[in-house]
Amino acid sequence: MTAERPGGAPKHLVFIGGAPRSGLTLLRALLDAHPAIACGPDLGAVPAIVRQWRDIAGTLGENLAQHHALPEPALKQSYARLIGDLLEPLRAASGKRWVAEKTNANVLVFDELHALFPDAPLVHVVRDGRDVAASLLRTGWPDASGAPAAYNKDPVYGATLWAKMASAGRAAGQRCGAAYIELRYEELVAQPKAALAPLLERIGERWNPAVTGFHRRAIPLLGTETTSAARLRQPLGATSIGRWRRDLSAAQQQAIMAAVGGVLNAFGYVR
Amino acid sequence: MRRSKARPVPPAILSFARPALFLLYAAEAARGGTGPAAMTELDAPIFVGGVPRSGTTLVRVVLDSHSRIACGPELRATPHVCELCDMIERRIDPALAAAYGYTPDTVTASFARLMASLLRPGLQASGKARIAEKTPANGRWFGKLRQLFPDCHQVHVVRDGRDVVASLLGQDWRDGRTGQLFDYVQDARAAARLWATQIADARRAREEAGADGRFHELRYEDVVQDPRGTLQRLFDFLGEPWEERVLDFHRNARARDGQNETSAPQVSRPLYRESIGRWRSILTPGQIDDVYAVAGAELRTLGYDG
Repeated sequence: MTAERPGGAPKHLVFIGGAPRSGLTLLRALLDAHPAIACGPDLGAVPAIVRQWRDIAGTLGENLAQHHALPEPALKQSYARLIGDLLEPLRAASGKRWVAEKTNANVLVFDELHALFPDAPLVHVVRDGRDVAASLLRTGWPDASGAPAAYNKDPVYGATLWAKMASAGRAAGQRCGAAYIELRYEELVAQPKAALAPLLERIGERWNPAVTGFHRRAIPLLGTETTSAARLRQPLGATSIGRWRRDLSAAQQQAIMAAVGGVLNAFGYVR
Repeated sequence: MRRSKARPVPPAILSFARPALFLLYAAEAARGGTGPAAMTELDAPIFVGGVPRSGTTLVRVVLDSHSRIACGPELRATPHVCELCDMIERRIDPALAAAYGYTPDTVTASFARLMASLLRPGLQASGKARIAEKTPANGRWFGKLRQLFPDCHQVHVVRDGRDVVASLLGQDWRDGRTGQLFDYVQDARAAARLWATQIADARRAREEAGADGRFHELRYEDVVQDPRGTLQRLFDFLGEPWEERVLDFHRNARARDGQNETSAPQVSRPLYRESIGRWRSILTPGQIDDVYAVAGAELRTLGYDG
């Protein structure tokens, strides 16, 4: 079952989140190539689980403690262990020490994750919002109703989505102390060893050259990950950086700056 | 409150779940703390559900009055855990499950473990042998609860839908997030729909439980009019010996504990019959028409058409 110390949260977990098209799947492929780290496709379950914990702790916490012998730490442990149980089979199957769970929306629940897993690194993958918007324009991904999402037509939607998620991630990160690690897509593709150093150091693992051989491995790409399939069959290259200059019209670029220029600035992408 | 349809449980899942759950509990017991309850499985938990105002609080206090059964106030988490389990099972398709090395019962077993961890401390604190959990909305999740705990006993508390509607209307129950009154405490059609939908869900659960039993329907009116006979049948179903003290349930100190239990004051008094047929003096003719329009079929099937 889940590896845990008595009374503690499941160990050896890393959570990765960030806006779509920011390089999470690339990061997954890189990490999964490391001999000590397993990283599967988006499980998608973690945000819903931690939100339920938060809601139940908030509305029922007193009742549970008073009438059901369930104080707050016990409730936390129950929900943390649920997540551990859902990730343990991957650890067992891979034979690796660490499991990293990558789902975009994890970035929206870093506070909750930190409460349930105080020792787990929370990796926020950040990319230039303009490149994110330009990339989303071409995905053809549907929204919840099945129709093409708005960001397929107007890059301001993509940029706004990016800004919301990136800002939320960083704000939560400021509350999570050393657990929060911000990882830039641009650095990841250009200097993967330097980009991954903070995370690897945090989990006590060393760089391994197998990581840059990720493109030779066959990993199952599911759902929206398939959009990145071609990209992941090639070694790292910086060709996608700054694609917004060629992909977006001047009008689109201006609209994006008007909408999210402040956040682009906050992340150092514009002066 | 959202209405959900209970999904049919393919029989194959039960045979996967049983051995997995045994291993789960054995591992749990091996690791767990002190005291007899911690060293055993969560032995055949009892889940009580029913449309609100049907007598579920009454039943839970009766159960808690038994020396072997602990049934505290509503956990309220149970339906949420069931709903989350359902959502995640739907989301994790076979390809994703394979990528994560899941067996067919991994998600179910993980949620069963969560649910058990929410119930076990209360059981241990009580020093009793069995845990019962009453939350009205459990009645919408009997199918899922059967998946999570194949050996559980399920008790569905049923009351005349007309009296349920009459009792719901005028409750000051509000959505915690919006502050708005729920539709089913304001509108007879909404209240009748709530009742009828759950009756139908529970019928499905009863059919799935099959002849093997472990699903028991209890009529509020029977408890009031023939407490000894009705409650003897209940404890017989649960496989528990009869105890005279359960007829004195209103003296149970825990009766008044429920934060959310509208009926806490009532169950601190002995049974009274005036609650049966109150709808005749409470519902307007228009409301009665609405109730029959929405729930007439279910009312007739259950014999509530006098």
